[in-house]
Amino acid sequence: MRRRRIRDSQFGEPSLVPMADLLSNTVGAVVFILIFTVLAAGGVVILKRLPLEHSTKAKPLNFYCVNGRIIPLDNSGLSKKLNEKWGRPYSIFAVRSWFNSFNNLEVEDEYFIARGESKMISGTPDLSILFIPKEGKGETKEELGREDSEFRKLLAEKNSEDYFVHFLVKPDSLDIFYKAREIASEKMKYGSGWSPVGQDDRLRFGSYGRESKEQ
Amino acid sequence: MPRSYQSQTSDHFDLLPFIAILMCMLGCLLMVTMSIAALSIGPGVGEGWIPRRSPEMKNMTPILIEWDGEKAIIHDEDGIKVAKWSEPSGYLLSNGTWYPLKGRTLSADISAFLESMSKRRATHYALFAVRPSGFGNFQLFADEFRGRKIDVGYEPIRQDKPVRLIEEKVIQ
Repeated sequence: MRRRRIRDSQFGEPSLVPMADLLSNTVGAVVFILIFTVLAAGGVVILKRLPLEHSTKAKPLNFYCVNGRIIPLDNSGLSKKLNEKWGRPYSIFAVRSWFNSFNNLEVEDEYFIARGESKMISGTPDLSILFIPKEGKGETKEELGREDSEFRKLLAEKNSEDYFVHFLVKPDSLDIFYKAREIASEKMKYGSGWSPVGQDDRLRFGSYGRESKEQ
Repeated sequence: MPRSYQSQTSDHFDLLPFIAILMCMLGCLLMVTMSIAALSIGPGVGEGWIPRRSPEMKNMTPILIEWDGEKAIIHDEDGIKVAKWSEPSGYLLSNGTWYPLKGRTLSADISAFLESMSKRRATHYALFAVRPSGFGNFQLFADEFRGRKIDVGYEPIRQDKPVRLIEEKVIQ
């Protein structure tokens, strides 16, 4: 028997050129897509009503943004309560002791404890009130977003001509500040302003403090 | 007659290696694209502020100043400058106003800039982008401008987020 000669099957070499074209065209197209995507995503532009500080006849409605919460601060109400508790000196000789008695005097409301501080600075009497927020009070960002939030109710009780919203903001509460300001300005048409408070600083209003301004 | 065996030649080639290479390449490029896009949209995104004019602003031009508690990055009309500032060691109360203790010297950069802003305060104002690390002493720094009757505005910005002013479009 003849040995079956098995010829090696011939493998026809295909032309690689069409495949290389396909590959390079696809790669090139994807590279272009990559470039355009990066360029488009690279610069987010935010339209901002750039603030300019100015005085106003409107009174501030203060809110303290701390620990990711927003807490209404009735500093004038607490200050009034503290002054009533402090009272008056009985005589001119009791002024010094009366002045010292303001130190550590406390009153409180639903949200804050207000504590008096009195000291002499360069021979000048200086009085200030320390506002300590109560634990767990105020609203979180989620609660703020609700239509029946405490923040909205408080703003709805006042009017935007006689009042503006003033935020005292700590670095850990920027998100809630932005949201609250958006609600106050865009939805409830209040003017607004803000003041930064250092993360390690305590909230203190002094007799020679800065005026809250609208921006 | 001997039967002739003709081998069956088949002209076939395996496409799979090339498609595999193609798919791998596409997968890698897609992953790179998505990663860079995610970084650009997420942590890497900057802010470009476009002025939306309000009655208070009139036609005043903002000069952007980034403040981080130690240095000011000033985006002035002639370029970006860095100037250091440190708060005074103490203040003196006089006529109901606090003044920094005398003897303190401002750095040359910040002095020059304050001088230049003072001269153009009718047409320019200082717009601060305040970083969280600068919250504590920002008002003292801004008082340097207020004391020279330079209008100020300030807006918070996250610690590492780049910021710039875009003036091409002014929206009423």
